[in-house]
Amino acid sequence: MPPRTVLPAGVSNVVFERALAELRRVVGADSVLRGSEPLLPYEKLMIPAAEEQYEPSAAVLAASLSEVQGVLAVCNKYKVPIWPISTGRNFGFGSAAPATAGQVILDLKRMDRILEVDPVLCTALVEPGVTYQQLHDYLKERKIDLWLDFPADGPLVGPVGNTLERGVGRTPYADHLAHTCGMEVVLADGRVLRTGMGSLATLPKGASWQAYKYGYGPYLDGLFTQSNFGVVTKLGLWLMPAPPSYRTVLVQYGQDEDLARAVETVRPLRLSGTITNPCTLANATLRLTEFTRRGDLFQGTGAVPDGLILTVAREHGIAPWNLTFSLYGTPEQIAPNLEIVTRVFEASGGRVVLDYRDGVQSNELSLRAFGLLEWVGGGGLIWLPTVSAARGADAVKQRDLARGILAQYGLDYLAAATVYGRDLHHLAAVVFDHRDPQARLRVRDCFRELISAFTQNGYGIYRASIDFMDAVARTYGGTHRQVNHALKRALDPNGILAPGKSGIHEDRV
Amino acid sequence: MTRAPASSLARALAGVAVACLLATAARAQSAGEWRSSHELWRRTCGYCHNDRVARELRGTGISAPLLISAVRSGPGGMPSFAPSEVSDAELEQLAQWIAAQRKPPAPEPDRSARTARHGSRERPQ
Repeated sequence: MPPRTVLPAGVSNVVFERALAELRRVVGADSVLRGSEPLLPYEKLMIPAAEEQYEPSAAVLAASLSEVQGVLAVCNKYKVPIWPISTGRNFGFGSAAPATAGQVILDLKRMDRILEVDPVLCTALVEPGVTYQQLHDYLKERKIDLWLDFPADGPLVGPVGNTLERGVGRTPYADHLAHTCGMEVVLADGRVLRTGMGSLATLPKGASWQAYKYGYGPYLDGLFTQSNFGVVTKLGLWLMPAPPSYRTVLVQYGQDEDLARAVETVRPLRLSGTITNPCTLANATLRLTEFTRRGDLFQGTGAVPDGLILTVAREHGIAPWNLTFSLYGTPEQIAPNLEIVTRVFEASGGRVVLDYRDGVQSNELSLRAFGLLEWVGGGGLIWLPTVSAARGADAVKQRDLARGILAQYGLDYLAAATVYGRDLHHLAAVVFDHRDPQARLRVRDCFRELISAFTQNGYGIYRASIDFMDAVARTYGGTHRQVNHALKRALDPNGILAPGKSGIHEDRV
Repeated sequence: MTRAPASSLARALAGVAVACLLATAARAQSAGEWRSSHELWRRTCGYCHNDRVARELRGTGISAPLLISAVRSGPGGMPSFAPSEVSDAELEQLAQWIAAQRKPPAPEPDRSARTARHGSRERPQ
């Protein structure tokens, strides 16, 4: 295969070849990939964009902290932009692809050591290439009784990448960033920062780095999430002690208009601690993707009619809104809480079904969620994750906004509203046939309108695909962008780290 | 069921020793590190290619070039896999392993809403 023509912005072919030669000396010739075929895996997109829009110029596979430092030194020398990935599985947000064409992928998958697991303090220290599957196997093989919290695509993704994107799960440890403790970060100039207690010069091995987050002075960890201020090479995790038992509960609400009541019923139970994990209300269409495909029930154009969805859903025992959560603890602890929640949900009009199976709430890895991509076929997916206060009226408003706009573009409304506590995340999956350029254009237009409508109504997007990072950054205002820009200039003056990530650029606000 | 605290503590302490001893010996799951084709199948492909999410591959005799091409490019809803995750040599072995497997019977259609049929989720001790 001939070398690609795409080059990093502002870098000539001669200079780039020189940089690649030096990168080969750092990581080895086999660990610098160039050309169409070797770069294919980094180009695969689910989002509504053509692969060539985000073509990387090369990929560099680093296997150690010192190699990462060496790579950054070369990139600084030649002003070559680099896009770090851990497992490259940011599905529905851009996967492994960089925010702009021509960046070099810094692939950290080979940094896959589980450096420490402390079963007493229930902590772990891992590198970016470790997957949830690997960590799960590690704990199981050693009979260490700790649970992981992972997203629906858990086997393929890892705690470092997911946490740095501020991903969430479904157990009581669902807020992944909140359950980290200590980072090792390589700054653009090659210096290594250990956050929290990790910077204490006299810290003995195995001391408090993974036990206490804040160290001294400003709490810095958040700066390295959804950002381009450093390359995280180690992450401390807090892991959940395996509960003695648990009961997963499904509450079915029989009418579309029950959504507000369901949210109002759940919130106090979450805030009081009666329920300790996030409560997800999945709509019927989203649930149906586990059992059937759109083409099996509707051959027309436009969104599948609501009436048809509800009829087919009923055949599968699915309600218009399906709430799930779990109770964890000893049977003696669970029993009174189960009695309370059953009473409260039944009084709100819900039908309570006990012992529903949902692996993400109970440390069981699965990829069943990939059925979502088969709803339409063709592998297109972009997520719309928005945040509001956990109020029923806000859930309803977001449902109506999303459903209405999606229908205008002939797209189905597949969504879940999750009450994490005081916040409610409305997550809509926009699925389409990625092979169809017209479908991609239609979804892009639709997504622009969704961003605009949600923002105008005060619902912010909390995680954006590479296609819409600038657009979403603009919704958070000028001062927010200026501060990010100032940090970028201070920490990465050559702008080599992931330019465009979260709309943060070195050369413009 | 509830565990006796003493036995929990003993297990936890034993776990410390085990974790410390074996931390560096832990087998990773990246290119060149897969224990076997079966392991690679079980930890990645097998999650989907079981006729539930995607079509069953075992026993189909998919050729190594076709397998490698699909794994690297990720057709349709399938993710792509980089050479840092699995090597071409491991994929060639996997193709042989897939061909040598007997095609398992099709799974029962899962048409329920996955409710109470799974019973109590109390964890075994």
